Amino acid sequence: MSAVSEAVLAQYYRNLTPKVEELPIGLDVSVDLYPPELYPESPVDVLLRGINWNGRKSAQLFSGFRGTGKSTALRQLKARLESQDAYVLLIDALEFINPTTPIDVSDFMLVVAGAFGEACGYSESFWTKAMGLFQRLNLTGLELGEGVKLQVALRTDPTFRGKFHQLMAGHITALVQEAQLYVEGVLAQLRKGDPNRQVVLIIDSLEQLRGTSANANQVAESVESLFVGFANQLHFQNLHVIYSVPPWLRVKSPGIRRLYDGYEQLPCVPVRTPSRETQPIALDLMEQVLAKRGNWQAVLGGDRGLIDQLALASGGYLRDLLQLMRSTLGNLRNGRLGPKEAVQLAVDQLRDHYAGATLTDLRLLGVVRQTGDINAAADQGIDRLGSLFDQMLILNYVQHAGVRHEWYDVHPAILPKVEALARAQA
Amino acid sequence: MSGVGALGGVDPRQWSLWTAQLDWGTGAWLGWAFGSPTLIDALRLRIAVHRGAKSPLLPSAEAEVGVEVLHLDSAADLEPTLLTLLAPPPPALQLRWVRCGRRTGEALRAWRELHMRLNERRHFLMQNNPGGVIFAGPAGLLGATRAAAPDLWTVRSVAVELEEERGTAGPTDSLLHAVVEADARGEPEAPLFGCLTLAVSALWREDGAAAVDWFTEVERRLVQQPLDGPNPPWVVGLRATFQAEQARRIGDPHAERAAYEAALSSGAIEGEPAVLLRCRSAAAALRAGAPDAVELARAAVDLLQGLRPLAAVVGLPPGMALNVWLDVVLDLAAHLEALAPDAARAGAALLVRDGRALAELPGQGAEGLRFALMGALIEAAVVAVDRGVNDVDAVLVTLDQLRAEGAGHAELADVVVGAAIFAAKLDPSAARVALVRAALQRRPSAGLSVQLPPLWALIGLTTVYSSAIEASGDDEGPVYEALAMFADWEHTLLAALRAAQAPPVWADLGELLLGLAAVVRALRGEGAADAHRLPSGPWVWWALSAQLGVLLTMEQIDAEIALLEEEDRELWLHAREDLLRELAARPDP
Repeated sequence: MSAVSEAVLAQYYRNLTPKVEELPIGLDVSVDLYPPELYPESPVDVLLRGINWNGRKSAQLFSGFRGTGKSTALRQLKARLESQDAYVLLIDALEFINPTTPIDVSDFMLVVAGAFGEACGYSESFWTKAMGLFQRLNLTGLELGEGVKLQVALRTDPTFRGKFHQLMAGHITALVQEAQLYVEGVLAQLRKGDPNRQVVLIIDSLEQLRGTSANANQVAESVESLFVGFANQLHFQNLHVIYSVPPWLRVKSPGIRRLYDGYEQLPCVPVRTPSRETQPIALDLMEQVLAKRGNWQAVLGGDRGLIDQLALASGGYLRDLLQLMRSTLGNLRNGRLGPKEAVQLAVDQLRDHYAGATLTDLRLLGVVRQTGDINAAADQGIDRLGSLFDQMLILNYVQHAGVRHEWYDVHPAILPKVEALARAQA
Repeated sequence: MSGVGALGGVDPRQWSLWTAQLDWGTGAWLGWAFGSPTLIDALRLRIAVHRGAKSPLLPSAEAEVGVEVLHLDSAADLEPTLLTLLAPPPPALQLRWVRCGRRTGEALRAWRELHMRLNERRHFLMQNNPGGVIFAGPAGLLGATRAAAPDLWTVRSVAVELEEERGTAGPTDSLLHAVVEADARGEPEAPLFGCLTLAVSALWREDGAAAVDWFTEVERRLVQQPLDGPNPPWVVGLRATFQAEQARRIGDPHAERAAYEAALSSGAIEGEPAVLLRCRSAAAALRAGAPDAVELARAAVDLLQGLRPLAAVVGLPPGMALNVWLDVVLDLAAHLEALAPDAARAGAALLVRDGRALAELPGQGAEGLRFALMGALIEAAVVAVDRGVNDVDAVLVTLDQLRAEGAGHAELADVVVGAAIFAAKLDPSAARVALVRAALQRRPSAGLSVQLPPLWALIGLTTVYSSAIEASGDDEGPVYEALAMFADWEHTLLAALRAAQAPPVWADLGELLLGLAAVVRALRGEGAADAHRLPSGPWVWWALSAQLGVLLTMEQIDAEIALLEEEDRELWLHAREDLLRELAARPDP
């Protein structure tokens, strides 16, 4: 048994959950992962500036890999905006959009306007209003059965959705205008008595549009087409909007930044510099993440080197850092292993979780490792690259050392295999 | 991760992750385990005992309170599984298992589809499974599962690739370990159950001294810590089983049969373990000269015939199941011989006893028994392998000699190949790989059997491949060479399989292997003319890729085709087009 009691280990283990809602009430685990030594501004600062400096309207894109703190950042942004007396709506797109089918500007506009009106408690539903538009346009075939809601039919009925896309193809401008007008009406009601009040709409989870094995490319193309081809339509008068988008979108469409008022992507913590030296400031951040959740000094005998070992093994990816520490605690439990062995075993265990990559993936990862970039790898298929992002096999880093520097690297857990393949190929 | 010292397929170092989550975790959690059905069974047993529950060996309602097992073995299972996982849970649900035990294209496709569809429903999944969900799938699917459900994967609590047991560590050690742990927690029922199981297991292993020790321990515990109320059915069932085994050992078939019947009527032993007990009871009836003995024996042969394909998923720890299996077959064969003096059957019984005359078995008539005997012989080799690497050589030598005497009998050759493969799995050194190669090369191409080879082929594929990797370090050359050699062999084998109109499940597997053969040959620049054999459909490639860990994906195949000489490439592409058209015309496999 470790020198620390079972109860302490168990509580620390529970505090390391990646699910914030399961944390004990009152436990503050927040850590500022964007210190001035690495970043002149945090991503939340950047988004906030994008709103405050753009008057009454803006459209920004926001991206981030799973578990890098995207939802936390959006919640922080909401809180800060609300402290400025802004009216903020945070909408989960997956409540309205089926993530496994291609998206189209017509249903996206319906969702944005409909969800916005609904969230604001506006007297008139845009879903109803849209049905009126269909009638005015004489679009027969979009009638809904008794009790069936348009938003539900769009999400769950592929036949209806296909028909809708087909019929709306020639009337997108009319639908966009209708949506824009409707949003104006909602905004007018929100601003009654305070015409200068900022209103911010955040549409989250759009990065999770992915499709299935059969239509992944089609869905990816539809997302690109929406955000690149219809960028103008995604800007609303007198409204600030932030869309969360997949990280690969910027790779596929490098010019997309210019179409919006801002693009911010959450990176992993740069535990190593671009030249792959360890970065003490970042390691300190990782230590703080673990220290906020439990007394690691007591558990690991105060050996800070072991924390750094875990931090480096996680590649700066927070969920893996938590996973590593949980594994360490489990390994320490029966007292057969000392802290060093327990940490090393946890690192090995994490490696097992990243086993099973295909040879093609390893080759792509080798290219990323070699170039520190993803453009060369992207040439070999954006869907494959997207899958590698999703699996956190590729990690993204940003830091400012005089100038902004962004790079990519492969997850340390799979690095030995990538390097072994590279050696074999050499 | 090394599997040295594995306990019930769970590396003790991995087991700490499970216990930490089981004991410390709160709220919903997700775990993944990959391995053979037997290893998954062993893990389930360990977890059940650890949780203080009774055992999955007793699939009665009380076996595992609060545990639900969903089986995902075909496309038809997909929707019900999804609906169950995402619907509000039944009261008192503590843990769910989602098990995919098959390696057919259909099952693997369902596994992948399930993960893709759950991937973005993490919130609902967690909400409706307040205890936890363990997804248990075939070995080698970890990477493919992670790719199919990356979002779920990021919140995993445990994910392990279970490994085949090595050396002498086995399920007994696993159970013992669990008993010790449950004892440490001061829980009376789980250790009691463990001791009873160990007692029966020891008897089945013909280890009388250990059996007595364990049974004495059971009685001691019952005296010191009596259970509330009358003994539950699982105590009655296992006790009666123990008594039956004791009666068998002292040669009292009447008492043996009565005890087996009592065990069965306890209602606590169901499923495959019950089949084994029924067969033993029939064998006892034969020995006792009971009037219904022949009828019982025939029914038992039928049961065994049905059970043989389930040997891998039988609800007992592997060593125990195999020994019981062998015993039952021996008993039945020996006593059927006495009752029905058929020369072939007599030969069959002798064969298993002294390893001779398999070739004398008739192809028809006693098919069920023949089938069972083949299984017994192979399992005997496996058991020998399990007992230590040194035994493998003896098994191989014996079997190889038999093969020579049997003038190229194909089934016996399968056993030789199988034993070599198992040897290489245990010790993937260059010498072992050479052994597998030699065994494969010696295998005659004529008279191929159709019952077992596809399973060997699947095991062999992964074994040769992983052995070649182990043996060759980072050099891909030997890996391809090994695959190509194996593919040549499979090519012949599968032609025979098709000619023999193998059952659909093996035809399904056969298609995968045929695809591999064609791919490897073409990758090596050979056999482009075989390109028409290349199957298609993403599921085939996905399954192959999963099977081989890293080798194949559709994109990679296409990339490799692009690198071929123009003439070959054209041929391949035409073949692919033809095949895609053909497949499009077929119903979805």
